[in-house]
Amino acid sequence: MLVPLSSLKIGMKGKIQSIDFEEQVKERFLAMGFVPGKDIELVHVSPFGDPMVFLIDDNKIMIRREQAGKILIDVGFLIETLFSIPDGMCEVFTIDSGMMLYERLKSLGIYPGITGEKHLYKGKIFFRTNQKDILLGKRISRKILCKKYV
Amino acid sequence: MNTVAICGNPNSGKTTLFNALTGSHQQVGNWPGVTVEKKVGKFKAAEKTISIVDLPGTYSLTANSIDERIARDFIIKENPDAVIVVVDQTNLERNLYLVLEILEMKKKVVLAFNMSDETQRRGISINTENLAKELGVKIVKTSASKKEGLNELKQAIIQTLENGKETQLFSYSEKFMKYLSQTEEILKKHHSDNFVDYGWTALKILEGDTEIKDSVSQETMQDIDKLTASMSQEFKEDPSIIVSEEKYKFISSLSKKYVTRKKVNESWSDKVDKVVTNKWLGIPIFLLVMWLTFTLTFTIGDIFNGMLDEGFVALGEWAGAKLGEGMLSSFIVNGIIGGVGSVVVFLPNIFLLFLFISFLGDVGYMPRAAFVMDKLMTKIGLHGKSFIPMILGFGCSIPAIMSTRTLESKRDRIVTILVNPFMSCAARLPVYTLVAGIFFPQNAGFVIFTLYVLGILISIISALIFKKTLFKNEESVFIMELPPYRLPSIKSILSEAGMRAFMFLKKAGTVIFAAVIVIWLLASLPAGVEYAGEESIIGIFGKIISPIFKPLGFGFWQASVSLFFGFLAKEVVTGTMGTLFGGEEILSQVLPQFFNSVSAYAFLVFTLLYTPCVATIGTIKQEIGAKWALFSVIYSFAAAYVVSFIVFTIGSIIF
Repeated sequence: MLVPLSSLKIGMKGKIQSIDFEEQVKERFLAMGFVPGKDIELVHVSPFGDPMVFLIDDNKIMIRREQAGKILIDVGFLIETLFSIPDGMCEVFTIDSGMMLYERLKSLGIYPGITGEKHLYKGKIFFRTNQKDILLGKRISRKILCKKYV
Repeated sequence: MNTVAICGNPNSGKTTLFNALTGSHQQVGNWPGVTVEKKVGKFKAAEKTISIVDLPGTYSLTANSIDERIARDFIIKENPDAVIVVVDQTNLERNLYLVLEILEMKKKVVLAFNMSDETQRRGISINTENLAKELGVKIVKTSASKKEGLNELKQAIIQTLENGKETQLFSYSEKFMKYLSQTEEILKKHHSDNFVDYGWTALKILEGDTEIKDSVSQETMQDIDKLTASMSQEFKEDPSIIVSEEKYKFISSLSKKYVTRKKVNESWSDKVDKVVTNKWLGIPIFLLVMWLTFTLTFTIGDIFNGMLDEGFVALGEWAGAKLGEGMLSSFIVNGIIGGVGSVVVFLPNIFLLFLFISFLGDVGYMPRAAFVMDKLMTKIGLHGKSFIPMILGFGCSIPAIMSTRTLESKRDRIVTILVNPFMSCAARLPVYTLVAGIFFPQNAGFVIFTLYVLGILISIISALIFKKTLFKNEESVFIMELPPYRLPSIKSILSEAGMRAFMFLKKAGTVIFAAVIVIWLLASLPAGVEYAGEESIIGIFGKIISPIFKPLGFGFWQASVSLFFGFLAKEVVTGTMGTLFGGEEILSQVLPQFFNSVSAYAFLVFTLLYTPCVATIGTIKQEIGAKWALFSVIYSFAAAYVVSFIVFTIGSIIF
């Protein structure tokens, strides 16, 4: 599954797939190690949310979110929304939304990296994690992206 | 004498190695046409003296940054006898990219594999013997900070100069080599004897090197363009990207063969980073570091400032007593000693400031500070790295402007420099204290505070204006390495700060000296007038220009002359007023006859914002050129005029 670097949360890794800049800028990124095929990990995010620091070959490189959005990486698994993923265990990959929903879900115990069990009850979507059943609306469950290993 | 160049990635320890090799035998200048520093040194080995040129730190030699162009032009045009490439072993793959580019330029190369201790600590081991064989060069392991491997490096340089061989082109993937040899064939067909090295020329053309492209005929380029078009189709990439990807593939094959990594625990550098860049702690830590830098610079500095100031006053009195009354005496006492002295007293501040800046830089904190502040600063049209100069501007604009050298993008640097003088520097404080004390005795502190805030606001507004007008379409890409923290060497920090202080002194001795003489002449001529009196040229000039300030509420000649002298150094405004109104002691009685509280505040606003002092303008000229220095003069004068006018007009209606 290809995702832009800007969608990662701290600790997530992948393999660089493509970088989409005009030639001169691309040269600079290549020279700093943003080369297709390399492993990359998000290690720090600035207190203001931008820029971000990535780890490539033991080097910490800082770039702005805007540029990170133009670099695609392969995270090594498929991603489906919690809404469409089949019932059973799955791991939350990211929340495809702003800070508000992110914080709200986090306070409920749903955040990137957490595993839980999705199940349907009377047509409603539940996510069971930490021995707690959380009822999620259709709209919100479409914003929760989960890993599906291949 | 043989000349060798030394180059390498930024943070590879290149400059430390250069210093270790040359010791004190260094000359610092600028590269022609740009304000990038050029260092040339000498060292002795095997009874030979070898001249060594420090090239700017770069990651590659293809892109178009000033640094890369300088390094590349030097290697091609000045043709050094050999090139030392400093390689940070902890970062081998990226460093090898530059090595490859230089090897392909057919240079005799010695590789200094630096940071040996750090490499060991990180569990990385490199089979340098076999790597050296495959690349066809000598590799010397060094540790610049501990001065290890220096003699071996010198020996390797001598041996390479005597019998080093040029390298052959490396072998890339078959798919790519096919196109490369076809390009070579086309070149051979059309230009049978122009090129020494067809392989390299072909590679450079595929890479999209404009200089090389221009050196072949149009006919040839047409043939090659057809070829690159089909290459792009096969690889589904631009030719230049194909070339760099081929290079990286070759490099990673080298690294697979010769590098082994042991898994190591999280380093202390990583642990520090987790705290320093933390969501909650990042900003407080940053503010603490800035506050410490600022307070230490000015509290410690002020002790020495006072001493220097007293020294200059004593020197002036002594000279005055020796020389008696007269033109010459006035010239030396008021002009040279007074004028140059008022600038030189800032020397301790400058030295201390650069001491802390180079400490923070060498430790590796600066990129972290930029990381923490970038978002906020880009919002107002600046850059993460602009924050430090802006804070320093509260002390003195000169070191603040000099510290913008850490900004890579020219656009960001120009904007940061142009808005910097609006940060109210320490020299303006005496003026505020004096005037606010007389006109707002109850809330002088608050009035002064509003001036500082106004200065910040105007600099933010100006940055936004510049972003929207002067540099409308320039997107600034921010890509920067966070190098691991390092323990800095005291010697290198001291010598860096000492060099900055010396450069400042040199400027005080030239630009400022000249300005002082001109202003002194204007204040003393025609012969026999009172210094800076009503009949002096400057007094007459003051009378001519004073109507300009009428709309601002202070259209009398003494104010104009004070402001004009403030151009020398802003604190001089108070001293001049004292002289013109008959002594600083009686100002509190005299000034209210000329000013009311509104026009006094407008006068302070004008003092805050108007044309920076001559030393600052000299610094701006030195850093970004005469054109921008002139722009700064005009822009800040206009800004001061407009804002003071608004303040006076609205104030007069309300009060």
